[in-house]
Amino acid sequence: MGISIGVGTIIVGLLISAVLAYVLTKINKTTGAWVTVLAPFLALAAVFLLRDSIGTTYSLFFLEFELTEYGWFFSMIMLLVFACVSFFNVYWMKKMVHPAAYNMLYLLALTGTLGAFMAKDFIGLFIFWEMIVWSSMFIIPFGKSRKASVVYYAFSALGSLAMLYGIFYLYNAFGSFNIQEVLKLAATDTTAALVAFITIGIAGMVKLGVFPFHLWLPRAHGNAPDTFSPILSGGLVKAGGFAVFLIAVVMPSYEAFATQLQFMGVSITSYIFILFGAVSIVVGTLMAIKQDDFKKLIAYSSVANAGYIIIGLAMTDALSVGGAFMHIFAHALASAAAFLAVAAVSHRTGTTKMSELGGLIHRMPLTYLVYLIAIISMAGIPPMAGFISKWMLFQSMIDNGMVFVATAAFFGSIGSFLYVFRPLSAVFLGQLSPKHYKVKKAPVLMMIPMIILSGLTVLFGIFPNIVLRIVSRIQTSVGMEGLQFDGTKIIGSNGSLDPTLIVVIFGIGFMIALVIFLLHPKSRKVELMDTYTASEFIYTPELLHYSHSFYAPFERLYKNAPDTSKWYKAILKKVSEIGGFVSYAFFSSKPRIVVFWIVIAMVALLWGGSV
Amino acid sequence: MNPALLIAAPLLAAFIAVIFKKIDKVVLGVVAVGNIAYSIVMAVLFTGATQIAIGGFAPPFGISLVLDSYSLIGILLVNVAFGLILLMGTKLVGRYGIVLAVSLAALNGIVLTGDLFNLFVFIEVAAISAYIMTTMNKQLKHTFNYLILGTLASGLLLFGIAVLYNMFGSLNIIDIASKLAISGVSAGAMVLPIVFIFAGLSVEAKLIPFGGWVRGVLKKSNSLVGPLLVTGYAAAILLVFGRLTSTIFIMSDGLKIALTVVAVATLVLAEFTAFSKKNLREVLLFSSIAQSGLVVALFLNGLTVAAILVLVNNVVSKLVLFALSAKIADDTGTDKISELKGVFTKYRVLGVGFTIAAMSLIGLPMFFGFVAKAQAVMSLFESGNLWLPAVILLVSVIEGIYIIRILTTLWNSGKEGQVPSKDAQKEYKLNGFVKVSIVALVIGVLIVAAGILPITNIKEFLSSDFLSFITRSMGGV
Repeated sequence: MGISIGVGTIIVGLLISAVLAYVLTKINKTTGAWVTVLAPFLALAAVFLLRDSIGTTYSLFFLEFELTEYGWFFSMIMLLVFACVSFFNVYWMKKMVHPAAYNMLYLLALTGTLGAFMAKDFIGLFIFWEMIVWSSMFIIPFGKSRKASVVYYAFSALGSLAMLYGIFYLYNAFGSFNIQEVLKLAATDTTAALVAFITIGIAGMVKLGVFPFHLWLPRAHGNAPDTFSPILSGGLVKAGGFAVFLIAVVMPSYEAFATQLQFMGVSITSYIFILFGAVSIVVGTLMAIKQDDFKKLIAYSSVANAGYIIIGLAMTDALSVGGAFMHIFAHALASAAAFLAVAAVSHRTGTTKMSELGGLIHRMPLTYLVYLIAIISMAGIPPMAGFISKWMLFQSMIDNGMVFVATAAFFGSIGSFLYVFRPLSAVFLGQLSPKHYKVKKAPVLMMIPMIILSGLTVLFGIFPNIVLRIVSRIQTSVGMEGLQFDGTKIIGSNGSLDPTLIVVIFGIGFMIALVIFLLHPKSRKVELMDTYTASEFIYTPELLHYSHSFYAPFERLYKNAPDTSKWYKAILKKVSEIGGFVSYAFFSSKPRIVVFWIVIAMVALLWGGSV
Repeated sequence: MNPALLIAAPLLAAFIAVIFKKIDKVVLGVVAVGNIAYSIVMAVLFTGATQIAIGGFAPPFGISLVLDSYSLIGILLVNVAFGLILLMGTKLVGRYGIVLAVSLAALNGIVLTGDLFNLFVFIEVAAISAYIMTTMNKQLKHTFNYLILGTLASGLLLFGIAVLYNMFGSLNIIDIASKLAISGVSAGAMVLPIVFIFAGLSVEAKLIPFGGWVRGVLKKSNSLVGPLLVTGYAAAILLVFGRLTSTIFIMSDGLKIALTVVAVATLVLAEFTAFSKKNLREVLLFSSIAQSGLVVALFLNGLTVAAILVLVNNVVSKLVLFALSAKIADDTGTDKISELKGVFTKYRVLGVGFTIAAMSLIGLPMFFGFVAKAQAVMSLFESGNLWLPAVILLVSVIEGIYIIRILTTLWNSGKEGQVPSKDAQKEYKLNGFVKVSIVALVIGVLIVAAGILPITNIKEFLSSDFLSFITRSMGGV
């Protein structure tokens, strides 16, 4: 081997393939799209092979990279999501006005995430972090909304500029940009640690979509091109988890804030972060329940799941951090799969509005199965990966005695049953709308990634230790206690879990149910329009679907809840009003008014100067 | 190398053009290119700061020009900006060739002069050429408004200079600075001249509430006058701020705070105003005002290097943004953002140049703007200021929002709530966009190069010889 593969090579390779994708798409759209399929797969293989060289530093021109245990883990998740989603790009080329730009930006977003996870210093982290922001910011308006992109940028900028403030604050205090070094030094200085925790924490919260920074998710995820929503939800938001992990665990916050008031086993600062997570769970769940758009629903569920992740990371004990990592992984798989199922449905029917769909199980059975597995995992039901992570998080919450947070988390879990079953009923179950009689099943190339993601969700639900052993190594690599195992069992603080045993029992239960189902007489299929309408003509057949206004009674309970987006709108309105006033008062076309202000200003300056 | 040529050549060109009216454009072009070449040669051959006496009178008695690294950056910036604007707007020169030549001479003079009264004269000449040029916009009421305020500003500036002359018996900036150091004049005594000079300059530098003329003049300006006022003029005046704050502005704490408040208020309020505007040129002009506020705030805090980087970034990116916006407005008849949906779909190179400049303006990494912003924030931290970086970064969010709003709209056609499609594309027709596109693209490439190379090692770059060179030879004559 002439060239040894390192992080630098991978980054350069991805950058080259981004340009290549642009050029090839200009020549032939499909060829260009295949570059976006191949590049992540090659990068996935390369990063996988780098498993043995963790701890090595690489340099690329001026950038320094360090392959850490956690950086590797995050990169693998990201590459997996990108590699799976990219199959869909092939089908979307014809629908786009800027296909070449899409393909290039898609690969640049991937480069940005890998660079951010493997950067050795904060400048590198920030450069790649912003690369994620601007590459996705240009992709989102290719979808249904231009405003969504502006909202996305506004929140992202708030986060990344907060992080930039933190980075330069730390540089000024400790004279270095090296992430590990600076964070270790910050842990010895409470003020610096607090600044780092809040600024970088805000960056992480914004990316994850934790309350009150969650508003960009439904807008961006809901309106992005169907192929990019799974990337946003399954991939890019997880970068926020990375940022929170840096300040909560790598720093580590439990040492930095050891002198602070301790509350339920964590410092008060961490507890505030945890509370934001808890609010996210509640808000995300309630909002997800009332969405009619399939994509917005999953976006809000990502808000709720971001809450679990930040709670787990901020609690900083072995089980919670392990749970958070498992949750990042499980949710990435599940939300990517769910969004891909949406994309497949949208590809075939042209809509993502649930009220216009229904009964698609008869036309797209495999897509239905993929969605089912994804939502079971999201709701935290065995035997899926999402169950394992939630079990670990619940263990830790109860262990710390966090009553309110645990209540919110349980509420979120129950609520998630409600919101994941809504699309299941509205999109896949019930009767088929006459509009969709001719819908075909999803193309084979779309099925491949969906099946891979579903398969992994089940696999890591049955054998979570494959992932958890890696997580345990991450934990020991950053100097905290690792997770404990006993064969296939995960040892918790007040009990242990044997997922394999659960699956066996679950399997037996499933077999019994199947036998009962097969023994019973078959039900008769009724068409949607096969109904008695007293000679009324039906203009909107969707109204006859049983899931129409599914949770109306429940939604009425909180229909008057405060809307967070109004706060931001009010702030921006004020900004705009001040701007209008400035423009009116100081930039008048009447010179006498300006002269008046000049006199006032000079008097004020003279007075100020003589003080 | 005598920098006086940079002033003399355009003046000579103006006289030639008066006599031979038909070749005025050619003469102007030759002089613009010659000035760029000459300033580059001077930069290459630069050995150390010198004070050049004019007319055989040794300073401080005669008029003198100061050639140090600071003024060198100034003349490079002014001449290159002028040349590029001229290149993009050749067609608009029309009968204004003479005025443009005079303004070029005046801008070089403002940057180079070491004499306060001479500075006043050059500012007057520049302002008068600007009044005449703004008549191109056919908004005579606003030009008149500008004329009145500009005249008031000259009066204030002249009064401030007169007070200084009365105090020190000298008009030479370096001479005054050394006398200040020896005589130990109290900061209290300096309040009066500083406030008057500050107010006089602020009218041209467009600080709130002094620059009330800007909106009327710039919001409908064409792709020649607009960019020139936003870049060349703004750069020259702001560099004067820097020259004076680092030499003769001995400020009491109260005055420093008061002036900083004006500058920071300008930054914040102008960004807010830009956010509230719906037309391209109006957004950009308020954004320029905000950047002026930031530059002045940095100068006042003694952060010359950061101020210059921010200034250069603003000049370079605004040059592209304003010229392209005015060009689009000239050809399509509107610069309302919502009516220009998807204009870049057809003019992609134009769009790429615009986008790079815009991203540099908001300071995204890999673009020069990030280097400038990083330097500003870092040096403010070093000087122990924790609140100003927070203000700068917070208003960058606002700035980012309106810039991204422009970019997403101009790149994508189609109604809100619908996927953009080629059918929904409105037809736009721009005339002679190739030249403009190429200039925009070349500047874009330079912005990216200047954004990537310094971060090769940002830590060392920001404390490097290259940057300390700006301040080292400044005023060290």
